[in-house]
Order: sequence, then C-alpha cells, then structure tokens
Amino acid sequence: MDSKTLTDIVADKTGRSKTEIQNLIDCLAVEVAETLKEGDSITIPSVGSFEPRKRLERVSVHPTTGKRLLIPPKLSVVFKPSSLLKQKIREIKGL
Amino acid sequence: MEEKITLSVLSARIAENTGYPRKICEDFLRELFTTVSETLSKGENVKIRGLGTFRIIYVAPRKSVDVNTGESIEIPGHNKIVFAAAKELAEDINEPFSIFETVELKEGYEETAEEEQEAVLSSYSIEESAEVPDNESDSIACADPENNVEVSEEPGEVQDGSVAEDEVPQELETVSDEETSYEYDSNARRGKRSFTFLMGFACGLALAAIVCLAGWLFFFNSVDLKSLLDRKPLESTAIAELKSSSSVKDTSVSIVQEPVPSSDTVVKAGASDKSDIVEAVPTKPSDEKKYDTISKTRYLTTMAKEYYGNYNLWPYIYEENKAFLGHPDRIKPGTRVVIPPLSKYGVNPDNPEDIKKAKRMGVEIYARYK
Repeated sequence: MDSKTLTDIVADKTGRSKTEIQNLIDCLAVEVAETLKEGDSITIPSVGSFEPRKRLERVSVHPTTGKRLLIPPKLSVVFKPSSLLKQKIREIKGL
Repeated sequence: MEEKITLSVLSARIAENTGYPRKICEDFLRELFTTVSETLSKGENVKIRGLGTFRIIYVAPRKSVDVNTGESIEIPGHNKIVFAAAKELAEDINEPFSIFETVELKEGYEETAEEEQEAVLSSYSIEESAEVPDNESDSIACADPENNVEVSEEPGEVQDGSVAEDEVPQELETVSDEETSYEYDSNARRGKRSFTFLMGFACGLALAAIVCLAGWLFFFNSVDLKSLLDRKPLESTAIAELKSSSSVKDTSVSIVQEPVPSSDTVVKAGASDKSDIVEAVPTKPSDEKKYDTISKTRYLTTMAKEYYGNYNLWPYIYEENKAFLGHPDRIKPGTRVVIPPLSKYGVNPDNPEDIKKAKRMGVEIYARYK
C-alpha cells in the first residue's frame, strides 16, 4: 500500500480531509525524529515501538572497488513490532 | 533520557504543533496505526511518506538449539516485519553525527589474527619508549564521538608517510603515535580483541608510570644535590664538636643530638632558599624553568596568576605537565609541576588575544575528560 492510498483510507475513517491527514503525518514524522534524537522511544499499543539505536563505527569493504572503508558511527531508528502483530504476521501463507 | 513516549503523549505533542485539538490527533494516530497493522496482517507492505516503509520479509527455516534442553530444533520458516526509515527522517535523527564521513583506509590498519595484532602493538610500544608520551594520554582516553573525530582524521595524515611501504615490518619502524592511538581506540570497540586492548592499555600505563617516575626522580635529584651541598659543611662542624667533647657517654649523646639540629637547619636553609626564589618571581613574567607543587590552596590558576600575571594562562602549565596530570580539577595535592616560561609558547600575558586563546585551550582540556 503506498502513502497516498493510506492517507485516503485514514481520511475516510476519521472524516477529515486528505490534506489534513497529510499534514498530520508530516507532523508525526517530525515528532518521531525529535523524540528519537533525545533518546526516547515511542510505543504504539498493539503495533510496536520506535527506538533509537547507536551504531558504532566499523571497517568495511567497498563492494565494487574493493577498498577498505571506515564507516563512522551513527544514530538510527529501529521498529520493534509488538507480539500481537508479530503473531499475526508469522502465519501468513503465500508470501 | 530513555523515556517511553505513549500514544497520548505523542498526540498531545502533535496537537501542540499543528493546532488541531488533542482528541483529533489521537483519533488520527489510532486510525493510522490500526490501518498499518491491518494491512500488514494481510501480507501487504505499507509506505508512509516522510516516515518510512513497513515491509514483510520471509525468513527461511534454520537449525538451532532449544535453550532449555540443548536439543537441536528447527526454527520453522516465518515472516517478520522490517521498518526502513525514510531518508529525511534518518538524516534528521543522525544530525549529531552528520559531520562524520566514510573514510578510506589505506595499508597500515590490519584487522587480522589477534597474534599478529599483539606483535604489531608490542613493537609499537617499543618504538615509543624513547619519545615524549604526550600522545599516550590521548590514546588511553576512552572512545567517544569526540575522540572518534580525532581518531578518524589522524590515519589520513599518518598514511601519507607510510603509504610507500609495502611490507608490514617496514611500516612498524615508521609508525607514529597517532596510528597507535587509532589502533587502541578501534581495538577497544571490538569485543573479540579485548585482550590486545588490555595489553596495549597496560603497556601505555607502564610507559606513563616510568616517565612520571623519571621526571620525579630528576626533580628529586636536583633537590638532593642542593641539600647535600648544604649538609657537608654543617656535618663537618658537628664532627669537630664531637671530637672536642671528653666522656664516651657525652659523645654518644651529642652524636645523637648533633645530627638532629643540623638536619633541621638544612631543611630550613633549603626551605628558605626555595621561598626566596618563589617570592622573587611574581612581579615579573618568568623566563627560567621553575617547579611548583599543587596543594589544597595552590592550584594551576594560582600559579598562573603568580608566574604569568593572569590566572587564565593555567592551560600552559597544564599542557607542560599533562603527561601525569589527569582531570585539571582533580590534581592530587603534592603533585610537582614544571612551570614553563611563557616565551616557550610565545604567549604574552598583556595580549587579550593570547588570553582568549588560553581560555579556549582550557575548554578543550576539560572536553578531553567528558
């Protein structure tokens, strides 16, 4: 499902306009970024949580040139699905 | 830090920023994530523009071991959810680290077997013994982002010198402190190589201790010589007095008594000489090498004010002695420090630019210990 379809569905369900929903989504993205930058995680019940993670620097190899690289440390976001969702997903056949 | 933000808190924040009522924001969030959840449950990926994409990935069955029984079991094939943040979001979150870039590594940093690394490290230590351990304290400092900046930039400059060398043994001879400190730091981060890190750390500590000892002995020797010179004439007068006294008992008593007053006078003479030197200095900028001792009432700033005329110039005293000084606020009372002449660093205490520079140095020194 792409972003547009999603906003349409949510707009229908809430009775709001599509532009309003898009605004809210943009704002949500900003809030997520701000919260994660402060080291806090966001939990959505029955869905999962967004957590910040720090990746340490590492030595790697460039796939094409074969040169050795030093990749610097970084902060990233990780999504941990809730058990409920995991269970629902696990059993789907035909994927 | 490390708080768990709930849906209601999140909706409150969104309400604040958009101006929509809180109830509306909460409804929106619930509907949004319910839809995401339902879609995923049907097996379909969901993309949210600006946030990221939720994907379902199939994981092949694999053999594993039951944690309780120890029997080998098979984990059946199943699906899992994976989230990839949108590019803008990821960059925004990584903002504190955005200044770093991937750097190309040239020869010199080998990530090979531990034995080889140990050999390499120990030969680095041997090379270093003759050099001033200024960089030693830097290399021992713990790994944190700030350090990473220094570390990742250094191999660049070092490599220029050693790029020509092909064989590893030749590189060992031309290696410098920076490369070793880089190895120490990166080694620290590899759990598997904790042994080599300990080795390197121990070598560094031992070297620092040896240099401290040498410095202290050197200072101690110069004091000893002085007191020796003072004592000799006094001792000879004591012996002359002994010879003149008659009974054996008297001489033994006077032997006991004489050395005590003579050593007292030696100490006093030595102390008064020292205080003379100290008192003569404060009024003029120093140009000769001097020593001073940290005490509960004498700090680096006290000395800077006394010797240089401005307490902000303490970083120069610190830098001169940084090999055995740790955190500038926690120097042990009794630590002897060298007071370098300002001319050594080209500093003029009357120049406000130099004072500003010294203040910046101070901030940088504190930053090393964060």
